[in-house]
Amino acid sequence: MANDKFGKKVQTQSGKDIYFISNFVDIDIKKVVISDAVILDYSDNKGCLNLLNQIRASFLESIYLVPVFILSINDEIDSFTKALSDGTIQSLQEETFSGILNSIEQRIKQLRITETQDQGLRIQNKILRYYYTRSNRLKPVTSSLAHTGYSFPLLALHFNKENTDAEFKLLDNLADKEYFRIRYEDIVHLCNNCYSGFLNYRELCPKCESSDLYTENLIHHFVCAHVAPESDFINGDQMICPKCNRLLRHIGVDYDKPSLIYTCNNCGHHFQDSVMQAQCMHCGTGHNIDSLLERKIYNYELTALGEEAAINGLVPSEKQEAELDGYIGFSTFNIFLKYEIERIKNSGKTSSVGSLRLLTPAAMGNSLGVKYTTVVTEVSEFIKNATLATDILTFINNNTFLIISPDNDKFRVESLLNNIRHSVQKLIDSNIDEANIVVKIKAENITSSNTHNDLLNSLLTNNGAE
Amino acid sequence: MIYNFWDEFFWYWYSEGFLKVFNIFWYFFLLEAPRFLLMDFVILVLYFRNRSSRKDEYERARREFILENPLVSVIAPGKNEGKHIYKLVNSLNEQSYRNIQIVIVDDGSDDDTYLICKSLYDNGYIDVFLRNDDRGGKASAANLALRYATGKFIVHLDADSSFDSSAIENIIIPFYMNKNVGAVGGNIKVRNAGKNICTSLQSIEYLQTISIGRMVTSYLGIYKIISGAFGAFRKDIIDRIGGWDIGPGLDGDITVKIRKLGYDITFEHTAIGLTNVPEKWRILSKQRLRWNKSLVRFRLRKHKDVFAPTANFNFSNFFALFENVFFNLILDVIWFFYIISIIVNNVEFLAFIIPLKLILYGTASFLQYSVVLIISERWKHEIKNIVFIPLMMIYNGYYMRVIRTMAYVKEIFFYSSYKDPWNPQKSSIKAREFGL
Repeated sequence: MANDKFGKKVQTQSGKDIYFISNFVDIDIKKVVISDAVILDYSDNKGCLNLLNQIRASFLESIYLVPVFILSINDEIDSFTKALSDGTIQSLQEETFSGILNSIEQRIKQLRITETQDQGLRIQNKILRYYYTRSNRLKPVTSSLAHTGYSFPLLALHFNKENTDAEFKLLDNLADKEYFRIRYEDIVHLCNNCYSGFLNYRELCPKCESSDLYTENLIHHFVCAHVAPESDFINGDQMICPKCNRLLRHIGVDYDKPSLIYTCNNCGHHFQDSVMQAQCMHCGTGHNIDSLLERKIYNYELTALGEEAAINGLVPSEKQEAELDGYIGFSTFNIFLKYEIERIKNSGKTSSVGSLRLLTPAAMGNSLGVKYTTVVTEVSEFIKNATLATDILTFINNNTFLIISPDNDKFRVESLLNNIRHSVQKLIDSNIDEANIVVKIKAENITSSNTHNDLLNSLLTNNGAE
Repeated sequence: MIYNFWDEFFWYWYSEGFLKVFNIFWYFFLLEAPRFLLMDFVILVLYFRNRSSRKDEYERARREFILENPLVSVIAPGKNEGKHIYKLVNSLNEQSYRNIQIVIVDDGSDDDTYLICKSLYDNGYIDVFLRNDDRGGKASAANLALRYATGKFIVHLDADSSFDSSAIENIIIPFYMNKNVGAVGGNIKVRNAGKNICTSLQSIEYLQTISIGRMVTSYLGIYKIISGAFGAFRKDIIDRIGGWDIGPGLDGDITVKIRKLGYDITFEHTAIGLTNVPEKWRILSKQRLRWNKSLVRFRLRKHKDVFAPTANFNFSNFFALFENVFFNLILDVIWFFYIISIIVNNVEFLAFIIPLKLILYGTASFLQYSVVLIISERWKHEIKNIVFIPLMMIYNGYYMRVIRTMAYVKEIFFYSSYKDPWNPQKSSIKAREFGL
């Protein structure tokens, strides 16, 4: 183990630059770039989490995507550290984490260089890429420090309690675009003023809204029909009816307790239905229970579409989709696909979907620039002319054409796409000199048992005819 | 042929003479006409003359009441009465007297009464809303309302009633006319009078027995039942007697209990409430069976001490209950013997007797109803009932008499009021055990 300015370099057989950091004072976060991975010593758990937060909070891929392992002898780490790291190790032996490390590195290599100034897209790209490289789910963790009670640790580095709403919108947006598949975890009730999940549920007097109440059973004495609160009957350790002076011996025989009554210590009001109120412990706002904000908490799993988006990076692609003449937006395409599945269920006919993808090597990134855009436009025109007027087309992620072909089976679509593929390949080869672009196609029958997610996943996975 | 019959009819009675008429209809001439016709007319004249002479006193009492502005707690216990509650609270919110506390008790309803009342409570139409999840019976519900009512006066209502805008003011003023008044009965009329024959006949009955009958008994100081549908009580007195006891017939029972304490009971005919009466004969019969059983249960059993010559003997209490028992129970028995004797002794002349009976009773009913119309503030509406007057002889003379008799027999011999599902069994068992 050799000393270095940035932690201590761990001796590895693979020759990778892996640093072990146990002293978290004055660590320069930029030096993370020089490492293939870092190992943080959990002995100083606060310093460990602090540095981990700094690493993951960066917008530089070379920093926030760096694999981070936590050295914890007893294998116990807090939920935030666990969520932001790539695993816990008990020794610095490379083989204990090399599998995960290699997997992350492989995935990082697939990422195309992307750059956008749009802050919203930058965060989306970061989330997509982080979870793509980790093959992991975006999971909420419960925390008394989190404003809503649940925290998504990676997002919490960019959203504070003042913009919880923006965090929710971002998650909803990622799910709506089908980059993530949601799975229900829990439901939370939040202050509709500040989104805090820390609420004090109280019963209030309906007259003066005081919470200083006491409750009593009402007692019905059968013989004389006297009904009054229990305290009226208590006489020493016995219960004597104040109306007829008889002893109440046996519940169900002499008396019963038909209901409860509240008395307000503040105003003396008697009532049976108190007002339930949730008071926000953060901003102090009082809410009727009905007016609380109800929010479902999910965990998020990347879809094939999300993986595509992670690899290629999000650019203002919605505009481009709309700009292609004869093509519809992806969200509309999804609606048509769902509709087609329903139609198949009812009619028993066969329809199919297909994809044609232009796969560029990650290293090439956006270097193709205007040439690539021109090619995409020409390819889109070619596809539009080669398909039927009844076929429905969309273009996503700057590299994938999707087609729904109603009342045609997958063989017909496959054959059509195959013909297109040869022509497109020629078009690319003749327009882009250094082109190393591979064209892949795939087709699937739409059956009544399919979901639109299944079909999209199948079309967007990295296989298919070349 | 008709001409011949009436010719013969008149000829028969003319030849027999008045003695014969009296001999056959002695029951009418000696008992019913003096009590329900002659005495009513005389007393009514005295009642109104007395009222007229006390106009200044009435104004003074009214001023005193308005100046004092006491809280009046209006309590309405009920089960499955949700559909009527809005109409009730609406009429209460229209009252000329404003210092009212509305207390509604839902006695274990199994319909949407709770939701309706809760909504009215949340919107400020009801001041106190209480609910017993387990039904305890009318008395327990009224007592629960009483426990949380804070007014100086308690007005007990049936939830299916509604009230003239001056009703609360008018029912409280008698307390300021005479400080010894412990309770005041309101004037209950029928809201669904024109619905069918059944309700029209009940409307006439209410006008004759409540509006007129209670004015008379009130004037005589023998008024003995404040209707549960509309009655006002002094809170201190009703607290002293512990509220209502187990029914059926709890309204008559509490009136007697207040009388026994030495307080006056009075009737206020200008405090008017409207209530819905049964629209089907079957339901009416069950209701009247229940009401009549209470005469035996409360008058003859629970309050039999009124008839005993003890140190606490009070003549007006004795007479109030005696009049009730005499005209309902004793005369009922005599009536059956009377009818049998007429049939047996005059079987060949029944064709002449029955029409004369119809004429006599019909005329009496018309006269009684004419008085009702003269003093009623709603005579234009109530005059429509007049076409049903001829049927009143059958309604009162036969139908009600049979129901009454059945009730007395069931109660005297079988204590059947204790088995009435009107009260929950848990209460009835205990009431029977303790002879209440």
